[in-house]
Amino acid sequence: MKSTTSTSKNPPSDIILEVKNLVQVYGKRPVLNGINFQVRKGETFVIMGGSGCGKTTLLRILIGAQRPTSGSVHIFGEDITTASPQELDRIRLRFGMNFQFGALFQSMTVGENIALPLQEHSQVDPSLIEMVVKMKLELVGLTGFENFKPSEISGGMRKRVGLARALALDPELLFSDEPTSGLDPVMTAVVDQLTLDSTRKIGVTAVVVSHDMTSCFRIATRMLMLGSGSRQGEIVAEGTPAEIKANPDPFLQQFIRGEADGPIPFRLSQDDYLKHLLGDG
Amino acid sequence: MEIKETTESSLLILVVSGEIDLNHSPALRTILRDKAKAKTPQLLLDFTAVAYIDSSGLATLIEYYQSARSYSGKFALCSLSSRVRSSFDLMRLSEVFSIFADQASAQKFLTGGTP
Repeated sequence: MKSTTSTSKNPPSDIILEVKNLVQVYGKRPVLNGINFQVRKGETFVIMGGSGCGKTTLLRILIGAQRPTSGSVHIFGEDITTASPQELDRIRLRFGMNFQFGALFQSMTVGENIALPLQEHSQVDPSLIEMVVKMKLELVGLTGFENFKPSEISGGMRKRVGLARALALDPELLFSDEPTSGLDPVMTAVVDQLTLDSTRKIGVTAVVVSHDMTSCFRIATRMLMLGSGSRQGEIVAEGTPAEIKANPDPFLQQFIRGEADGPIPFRLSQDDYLKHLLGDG
Repeated sequence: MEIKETTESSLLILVVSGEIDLNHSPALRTILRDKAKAKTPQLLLDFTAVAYIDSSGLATLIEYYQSARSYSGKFALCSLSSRVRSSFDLMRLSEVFSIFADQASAQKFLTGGTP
């Protein structure tokens, strides 16, 4: 992660990511409905919310994999919702994406997967790339696994290889989708510590989508919760971990406490269920 | 990135400034490979003015370290900013390289004394 260079397209402030009035509608259903937030350099910004709240949709829009219905997403001062494919490729060199299940190429070895971004986007000598691969594997606790195929390692290990690949180009901004789901407690702590070291010591900015509350509160500098059900598409709460804990919103409190009873819909109301069952709706 | 070279007796000092990233580490590599080829007996990299080093820069240093070891050359770094030092720490390279707080202590190490 190098420091921001002074090109004319860079924002004057330390805002790395800015989302304005973001709307995503599927059919007639608004999944995201006027979302606004900013992420500053060196922050670990955690986006949380229940299944189906639009976390993954939001993340896809943030990395330029999906165009929103309306609104804008500025990364390093450039709007990626209107960027051309060539412009997107250039912006993507400055951020890494750690996919939920690693998204590794199955035909390649672990080492080849991590080396790929360096081979594709740099002139670094192959012998040096080999060293970078070893360093990144050490970073995620997988030293010696270079020659394994993804099918020969566990799901948790594949996730960590995905993280190593996301860090291959030393990105300024790292997006992570559920980085600790499926990891054992020790590996969860290791991945959390890596996020903390990268942000606090090196100055990387991290945007993490997660519903692992322990991990969220351990790494976040700020948190945002997306609503679902009757509050689908809106931001339920945003703030520091202390502010989130102190926020009395019952929707938020049910989620962070992991309670079954509360306003977060799990089943339809009796009336709605009967209407649905009897076809009266 | 800029590199200025000074010599003190048999000790070669490279004062590096700027950012050692994907764009600039090849230039550092060219210089270090020349120094390895010449079997430089004692080399000090002064990082006082280095603002950032990425993985390609760290790999470049490892490559020189390997070469210098093959002819028993001595190699040290000094005056790392906390951010640059963190990059070494994160990759566990502080355990590999001889890193000193300032030029004086690094020189003492390289020219025969102990740190």
